[in-house]
Amino acid sequence: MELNFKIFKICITCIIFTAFICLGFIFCLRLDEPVFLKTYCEYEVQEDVNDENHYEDTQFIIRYITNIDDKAKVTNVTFLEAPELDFWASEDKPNSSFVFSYNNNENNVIGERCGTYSIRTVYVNLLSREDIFNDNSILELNNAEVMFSDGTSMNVQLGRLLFSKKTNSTQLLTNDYSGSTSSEGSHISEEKYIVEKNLKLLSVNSPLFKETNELIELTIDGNKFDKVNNIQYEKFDTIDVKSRFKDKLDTMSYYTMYDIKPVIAYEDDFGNTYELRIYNIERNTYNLECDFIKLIKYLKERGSI
Amino acid sequence: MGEGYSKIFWGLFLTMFHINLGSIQLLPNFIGLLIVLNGIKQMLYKYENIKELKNAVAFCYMSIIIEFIIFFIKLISYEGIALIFNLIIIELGIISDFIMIFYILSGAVRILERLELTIAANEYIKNIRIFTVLYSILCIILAISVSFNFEIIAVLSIIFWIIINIWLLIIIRGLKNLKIDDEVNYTI
Repeated sequence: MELNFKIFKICITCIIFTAFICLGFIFCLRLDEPVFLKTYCEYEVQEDVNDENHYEDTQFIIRYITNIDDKAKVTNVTFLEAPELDFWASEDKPNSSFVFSYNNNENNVIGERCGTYSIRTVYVNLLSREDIFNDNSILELNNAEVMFSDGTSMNVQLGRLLFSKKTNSTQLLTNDYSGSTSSEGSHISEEKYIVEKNLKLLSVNSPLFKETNELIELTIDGNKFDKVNNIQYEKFDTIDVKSRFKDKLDTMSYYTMYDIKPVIAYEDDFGNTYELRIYNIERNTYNLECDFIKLIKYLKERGSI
Repeated sequence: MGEGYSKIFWGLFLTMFHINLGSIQLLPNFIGLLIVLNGIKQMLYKYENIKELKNAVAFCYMSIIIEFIIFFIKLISYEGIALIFNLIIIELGIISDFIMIFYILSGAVRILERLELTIAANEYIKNIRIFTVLYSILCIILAISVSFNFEIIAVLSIIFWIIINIWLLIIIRGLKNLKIDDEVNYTI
């Protein structure tokens, strides 16, 4: 019987010790304020068909990580670089019918749950208006003022969000094939064009190449994108554009959203220049598996815990 | 031996089941624990001065209070409850349950010793030893699973919890059915 009591005391000590360690962990892992994922994305703003200077709504998302018991949601977003622009922001999916959310109050978790954190998505809409670009061709936004439903607000550096006008349809080229293949987890996008008239490639450019240089593979007919100067194409040639986003990413890049749309500039025999956009080079974070250790590493690198 | 342990058996049986009507628990845990408390007090009244059973009563009271707090929090769905406070309460509940069950079983052994059923008492001592170790492992896994919500640990803890609780009920049922005759006739 005495042995039983000894074992009992040892067991109780172990349990209390574990409980203390768990609570200590939870305490250390708490975030003081939400951590927004960096976004390096290019967005195209559609011009209104009828009115040349009027632009339609542009939708995009920003994501952030917060503690699992944080009940505050994002209600408004404004950008300090362009305070006259109006945005609509909400954490509920837009255009969804009223969902009768009757959930067990034990699972009152907003967003995607991952350990002691939840990853939330904010759907933002740059509302239609005239004159977004103010004589520049690209609008770059970074400094955001985010307002939450509990009255607090936060100043965030989101990364680089670039808005540009949607380019005209392809000239001198017809789209022959566009598709994507997936093999062993990597996702390759391919577009083939047939040349209608003689043209010469000038350059492939994107404002976000600096941030994404090591992460993407972009080839035009086998040539790397920075080595396509002055390549000549004749009528009935095919241009094969292959693009791929690397799948093995380091921790910081894993939790960053990328979407670059490089522009291929080319000219015809008469010196007129045209532009062609490449799409589908993106890393969205929609299907992030919950890797708690990776998330903790990321938050440590960001300096939040 | 029967009546007190019968109440303890049914009380613990009730705490195992959670009948939820939406978000309201129809049969909260503390009702089962009240029945357990009644059973322990009955045994204490019959066989006086057993230190283990007195301790069991104290920790039963503590468990009841903790379960009531948890039930109350769930009922009013207070939004401002921090995760840490929730965890502290739940882990205190787990520890308190463990101590209470240990003292209930040890109290049974004391009673058997007092009745001079030493063979039965020794069998139970061995059983309790193994049970204590396993239950404490369960408590540790529960503590981790409640803090961090890893799926694997949550599933493992639930399965383990069911197995251990069924074993506990079997032990107590054995105690309940123990016939105190002139013959040493016991079932474990």
